[in-house]
Amino acid sequence: MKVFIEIFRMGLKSSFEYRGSFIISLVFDPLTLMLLISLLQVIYGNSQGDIILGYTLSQMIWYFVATRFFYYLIWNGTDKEISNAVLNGEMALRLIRPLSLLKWEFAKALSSKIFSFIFEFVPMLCICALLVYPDFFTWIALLKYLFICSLSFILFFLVSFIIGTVSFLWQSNQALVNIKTAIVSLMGGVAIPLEFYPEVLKNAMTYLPFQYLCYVPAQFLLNKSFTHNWSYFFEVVGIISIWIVIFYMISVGFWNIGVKKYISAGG
Amino acid sequence: MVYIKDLLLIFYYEMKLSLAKAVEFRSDFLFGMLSDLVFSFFAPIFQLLIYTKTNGYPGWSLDQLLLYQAILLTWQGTVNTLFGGIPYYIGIVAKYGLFDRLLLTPYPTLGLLLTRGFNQKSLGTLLAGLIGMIIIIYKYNFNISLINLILFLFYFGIATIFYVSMLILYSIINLKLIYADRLRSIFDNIIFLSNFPAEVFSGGLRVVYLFVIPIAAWVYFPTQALLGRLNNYSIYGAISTIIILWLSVKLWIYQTKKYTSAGG
Amino acid sequence: MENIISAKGLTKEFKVHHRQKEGLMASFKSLYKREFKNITAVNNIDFHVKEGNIHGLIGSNGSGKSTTIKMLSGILLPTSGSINVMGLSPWKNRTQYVKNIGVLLGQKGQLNWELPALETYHLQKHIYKIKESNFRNNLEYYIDVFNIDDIVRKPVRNLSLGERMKCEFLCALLHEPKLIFLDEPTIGLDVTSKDTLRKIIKKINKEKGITFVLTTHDLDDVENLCHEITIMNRGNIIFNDSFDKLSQHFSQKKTIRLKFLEPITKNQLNGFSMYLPDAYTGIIEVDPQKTDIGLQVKSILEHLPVKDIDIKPIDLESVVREIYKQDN
Repeated sequence: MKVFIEIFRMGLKSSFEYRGSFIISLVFDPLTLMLLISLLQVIYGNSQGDIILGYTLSQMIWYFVATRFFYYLIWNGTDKEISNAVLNGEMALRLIRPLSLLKWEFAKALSSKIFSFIFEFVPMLCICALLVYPDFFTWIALLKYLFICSLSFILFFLVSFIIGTVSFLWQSNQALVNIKTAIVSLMGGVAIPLEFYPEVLKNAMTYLPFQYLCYVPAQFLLNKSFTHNWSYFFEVVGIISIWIVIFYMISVGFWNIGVKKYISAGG
Repeated sequence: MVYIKDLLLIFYYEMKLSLAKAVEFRSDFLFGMLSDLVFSFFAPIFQLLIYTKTNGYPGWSLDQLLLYQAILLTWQGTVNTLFGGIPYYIGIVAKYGLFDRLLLTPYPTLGLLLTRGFNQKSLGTLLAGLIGMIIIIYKYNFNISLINLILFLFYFGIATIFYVSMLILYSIINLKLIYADRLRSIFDNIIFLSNFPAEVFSGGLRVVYLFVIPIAAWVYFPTQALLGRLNNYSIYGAISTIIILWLSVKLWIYQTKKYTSAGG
Repeated sequence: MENIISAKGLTKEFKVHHRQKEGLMASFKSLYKREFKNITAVNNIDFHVKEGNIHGLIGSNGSGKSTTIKMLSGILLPTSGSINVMGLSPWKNRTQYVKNIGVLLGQKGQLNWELPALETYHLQKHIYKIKESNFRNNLEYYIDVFNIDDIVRKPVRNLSLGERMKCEFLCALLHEPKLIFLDEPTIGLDVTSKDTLRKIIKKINKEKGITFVLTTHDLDDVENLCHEITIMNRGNIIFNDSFDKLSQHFSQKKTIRLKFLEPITKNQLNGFSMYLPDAYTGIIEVDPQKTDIGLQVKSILEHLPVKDIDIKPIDLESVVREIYKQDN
């Protein structure tokens, strides 16, 4: 546990060193958001009702804000991190550490997300609230959202870790990383709310874990009426937990196969 | 200027090297091309989803919007084939301090940087865009005059210039920040805005879109040129594109000077 | 011999980000407030290299040797001072200048990782506009010298560090530079690879007449390679002469190396001035012109529990240590 905290502190500290990167995102993200707001205003102005596909204008705008939050709170590059370490040979050094790679990477990812939470999520929440007033907002909805996000973070981390371990088997996992990005954008609702898809597709996605990464948490933030019910909240928590267990088992399996191959191949 | 011929030649050899790599790692290349293709189809598909699920955009019929999307694909295919490797390359340069290496070559650093971007994985997108354009033009009976075609090619060139300027700015910021994970997604976000025609932006934002950061130069102006709907705005947009190119080159030179005099 | 490099009054000052405290709070503070500190990396040095020489630039980390190399190769602009290399000023006409030099930066390679080195060499041919016939001849010659005929045909990422270094080295030679800068060429290499690389440098220097300037903190490099040596410490040159002078200067001195039967502490030395690497070992440097070695040894044997004794001419490491000591 002590080692864990140490890695965590180290990760946090190195995040501070890269301050320029997040200052830029604090400037540019609101700017692109403003263009998006304008776009949505035109689309809503051009249509008859006030609600499109179940979203009011402010909810629709905030859905896209939530897709930014996805990058702040959930997204991480563990897969690339691992494959780079395999490619340039650093992995050999990491493997002899007295801490499992999974824990090491998890501590690193967690520290960077906590950094993002304080220095990106909170400021952006305030800036966006000033730009477009979230008339649907309640504190309880925000808390529910954050709780589900923390589970989604674990889920995403495991997916990312599994893809990372694939680089032990293949030379490069770049193609898989791309596919993951595509799947998460498409099925996770990062690119666009899932309601835009044909009904059949949208229903099919409920059987997959990806919508719990961005789309479902966002529904809680937007305080959609179907999320008011606590039983729905617990249902979502339960489903994500099940997926976490499944992906954890897969990651352990992949790790065992991958590391055996890596060691026997001699790096 | 004396360097341009040499640099084009180097670009050509870099391209050959890149293709040699593609042959060596065939499966990676095919996989990469496929995923590039899938990614580039994202934008048009979302666009159409938005268009059909809502009441659409003022001033654009569905066939015109389809043409817009095909031109978007062609443009993305072109710039990503020519320069798509640069963000990755500059990331490596920043991370491992390889800028020294650029300074040790007998060429202007920026010129050499621009020869390093060839990315064969985007050829599929380019092809898909071109085929899409031809099919849409024939299927929906667009009448395209020679003048409009020439104007289109001119604005396509302007679009490429503006993309290069943005790449230069991207590289400058990346070199400055070293670690620029987020920068890439911001860059992609700006490019994403070219998916939308000017009509969806209102007031001051439309001014920004047309002239200040002339995102319109990427797809909007070329499409309007092909449709014969250009107005004076496009000229100002083109001028502003040239100014931005000039500024970004100046900034690059300034940054290089600063690097060599600050050092370490 | 003429000077191929002459630098006068070379000075380089840096501003570096400086954080005094460790810890999380200090990191947080650095977000909005950064302290900068001025560092003089190179302090008003005069530096000359004779044509055809292998010139070693030695010093510990932070001594300013890499900064000097970077200024000489045109990567960095000096704060003040002038440099003349083959009649050119490195940073004034960079693109012209770099055609005449080759640079091997230890950790910053120019080979394409995924491809065989041979492919990068062909690209190099176009970048430097090397004539086809010259390119062929050079490539053949150097592949033979380096003995890497099959290595250049393998993807670079599959090569060992030593093999990669050879390939990088070859890459810096193809455009026939008259002057080559090597920044830590032997760092991280095993003993045999180091030895091979040194032999290659010597051979090329002799056969092609290429001048080498190399930085190193490996004193074996200095002993086996360099005609002339410049030792730097904290931005200043503290020794600058031929290798022969360096060894002459100290060659009369002897080192007496002692092994003790039991651990010795400083207090037990009874006035002997001795360097103790560990409790069982003692090293004394003696100048035979000032002290009688026989008496010295006799007195040591009387007073200390000596198990083994070894008298040798002073080694280079001690020489450099001595020079540093004088400077500090």
